[in-house]
Amino acid sequence: MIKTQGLCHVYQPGSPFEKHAIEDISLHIQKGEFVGIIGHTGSGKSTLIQHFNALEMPTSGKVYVDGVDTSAPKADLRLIRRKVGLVFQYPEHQFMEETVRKDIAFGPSNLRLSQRDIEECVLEAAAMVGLRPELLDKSPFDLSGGEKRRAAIAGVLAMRPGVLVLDEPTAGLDPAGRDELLTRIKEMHENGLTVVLVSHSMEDIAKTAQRIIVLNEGRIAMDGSTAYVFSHADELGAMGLSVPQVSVVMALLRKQGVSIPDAVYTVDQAKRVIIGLYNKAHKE
Amino acid sequence: MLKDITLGQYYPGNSPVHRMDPRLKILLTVLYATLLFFIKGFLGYGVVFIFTVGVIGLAGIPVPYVVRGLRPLFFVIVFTAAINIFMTPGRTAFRLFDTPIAATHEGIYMAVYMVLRLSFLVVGTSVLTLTSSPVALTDGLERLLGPFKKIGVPAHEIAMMMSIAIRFIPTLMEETQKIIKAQKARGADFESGNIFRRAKALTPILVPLFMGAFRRADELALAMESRCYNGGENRTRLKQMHMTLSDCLSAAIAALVLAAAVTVGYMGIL
Amino acid sequence: MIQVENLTYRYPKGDDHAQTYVLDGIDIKIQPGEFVAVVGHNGSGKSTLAKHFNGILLPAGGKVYIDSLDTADRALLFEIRRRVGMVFQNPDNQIVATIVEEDVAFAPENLGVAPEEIRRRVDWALKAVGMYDKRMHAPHLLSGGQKQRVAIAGVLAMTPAYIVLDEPTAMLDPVGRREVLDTVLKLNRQEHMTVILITHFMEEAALADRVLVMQDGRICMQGTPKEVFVQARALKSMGLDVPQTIELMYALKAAGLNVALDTVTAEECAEEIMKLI
Repeated sequence: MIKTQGLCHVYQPGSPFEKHAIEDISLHIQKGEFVGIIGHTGSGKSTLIQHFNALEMPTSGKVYVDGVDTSAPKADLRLIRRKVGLVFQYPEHQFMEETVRKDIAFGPSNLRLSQRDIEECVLEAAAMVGLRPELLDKSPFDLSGGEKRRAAIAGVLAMRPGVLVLDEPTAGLDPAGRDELLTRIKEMHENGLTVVLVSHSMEDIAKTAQRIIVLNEGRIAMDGSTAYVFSHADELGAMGLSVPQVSVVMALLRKQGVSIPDAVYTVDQAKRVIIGLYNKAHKE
Repeated sequence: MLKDITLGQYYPGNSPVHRMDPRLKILLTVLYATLLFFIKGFLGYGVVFIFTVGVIGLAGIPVPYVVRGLRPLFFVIVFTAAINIFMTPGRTAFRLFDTPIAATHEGIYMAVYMVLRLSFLVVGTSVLTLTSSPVALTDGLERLLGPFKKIGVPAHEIAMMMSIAIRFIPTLMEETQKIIKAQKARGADFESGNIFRRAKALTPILVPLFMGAFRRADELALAMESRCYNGGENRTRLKQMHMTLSDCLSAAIAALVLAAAVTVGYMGIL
Repeated sequence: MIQVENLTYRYPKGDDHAQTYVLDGIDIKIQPGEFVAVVGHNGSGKSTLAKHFNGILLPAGGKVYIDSLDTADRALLFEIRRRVGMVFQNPDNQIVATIVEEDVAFAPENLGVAPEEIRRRVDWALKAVGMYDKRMHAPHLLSGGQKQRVAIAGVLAMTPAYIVLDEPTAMLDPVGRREVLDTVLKLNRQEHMTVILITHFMEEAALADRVLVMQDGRICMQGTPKEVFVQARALKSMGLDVPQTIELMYALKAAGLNVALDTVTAEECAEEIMKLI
């Protein structure tokens, strides 16, 4: 779906403000994956994902979306942006229409679809994010915080992308709003959407992603299954990242000599492992 | 594009020009801008040229850096020159491609003056903003306008508005970039189509930008109130302004040089 | 001491929610030197409550006293605002000036403090939040956490007795969040500042001496972090988080294991598990 080869991006090259945002990034995101991208602020996450939909162009290296080179002179950028739906941080700050319906319709109408198709896209997208139909005729500014966020995400989904890339989608939401949104995103993934989730909430990533790419100072520091990455707590810590609290507890137990497998990073997994250990200890 | 505007961008330094009391700098800039329109003859402009370059040199700013500030105004200057060359009545110098549109000797003469005036105006005023921090400028302005408070000039409010505007310009520029990208990600097209289509395409940028600015204004007002803001009444300042003797002397010298530039024109030399 | 007595509030008429109370009978006493966290989901009324502490909002019913000064008394407004410093969520929208130290000076300038004293306070406040080295910087070039620390310094320059922080870390990354919390803790522990932290991050509330939980404009639970967190089920039903360590203990207990439920830190949790196996 998305492939990068030796991707580098330099901001303001040749000026005193020259900044190497990302360097030598090669990765391949397959159809149907749920990939988490983590890294602290300034690690190049935002720059990287803006290459996925051709908002930024490589300084060197290549980005392919469905096999199409985004920097090829004939590349249809609008088609690429339709295929890779990118949701920025605080997407509700881009509302501009008087009703939620019209705002969600902005994307599909830019594709010059028929009125009927647009309406269909809007309803479908609203349903995907769990927005009640009666909210569609309200002003987007009158929605609650969580609803605003979901309506804004629907605005990208309405273009029927094959990949959904979200930059910090839960930032600023309260726990209820966050859980609702994450559940919806997981559902979309189960229904076949490829998802790339950028977040510095390790708990969010642990709950959703199958694979994690860790960025540090513009380079890929780790790329592997969620279990693999979270079992490297010390390395993550050195990069200024944290692991979910459960992983910390498990690491403490390992230090005490308890044998615990790598793949334990959610409460549920931890519960099962501990009960197993308990049963073993009390049988003897 | 917006990055090229030298006007308004502080060039930090510690030269005598930087250190001069901002009130005097503002007054001198006003004097400079006014007198430019009374200068006659090239000798006068010569004096202004030497004065301007001298001040820039004293401030330790590279001259090309200041001249770059003219770039965004390039079209205005060319346009003014063209209007003058072709619209001033007088002796025909040449015709444009055998059309009735004729350039006159008087027009060319006028055009050169206009170009000089505009260029010096922009370069001269940018020296003010290049050598004074925004805080110093707004403070200076507030204090200069202070005496006019009695006749209802809201000196403090004007200064406060200016300083908040300067504070939020970088923030809003960043936000604009972000909005443009986000709308592009939703298939918005800002590059093609005629001027009307393009103007219409701005709505998805302008609406969120203004909504954002209003939201910020709201929150900022709350934060300012929480920090006991109550207008300019009984306000004190962290930094006091001191007009030193050398400040006054340099200002006097500068004023004299500018006056001389005007006088040479009327004395009929050259 | 801050005293809130039977406080009620509803938004002025003309609004849709005119008839529902946003705050509905709140009683709180906050002692000098305390660190109190107020948690609740969005719309629980916690921000509305915060705005009552420095007279931005005035009670529709009941009273709010700051050191026995009534916030409803307009004549005392500035004294109350001086005593209760307020830090907001968005770090960008509370910085007024184009240079860090000028911004910190804003409040004392408003209060008409003499220039030498302003200088002293600005330097002290910037040192207290660890931003003295950046005093000549332009705020827009700072990181989120740094901006928020400047905002805290800007409030400290009023020499307040109380600091109210309304979701100060909601827009920050983990590094910025830690910077701000470390600063807040330091102010409470070393400068004996009374701190009221509004948040929905439970790991932040865990640092407080006392946690108030708000729901539908009322305080529905309060106590030490441990006392509050052990009521995991009630918190979850209010749309709030519990630390994973406690969630794990609950899961184990539900599976029939005999464990303590008040393990707030990872160490406590690991220790408790070691007892089992």
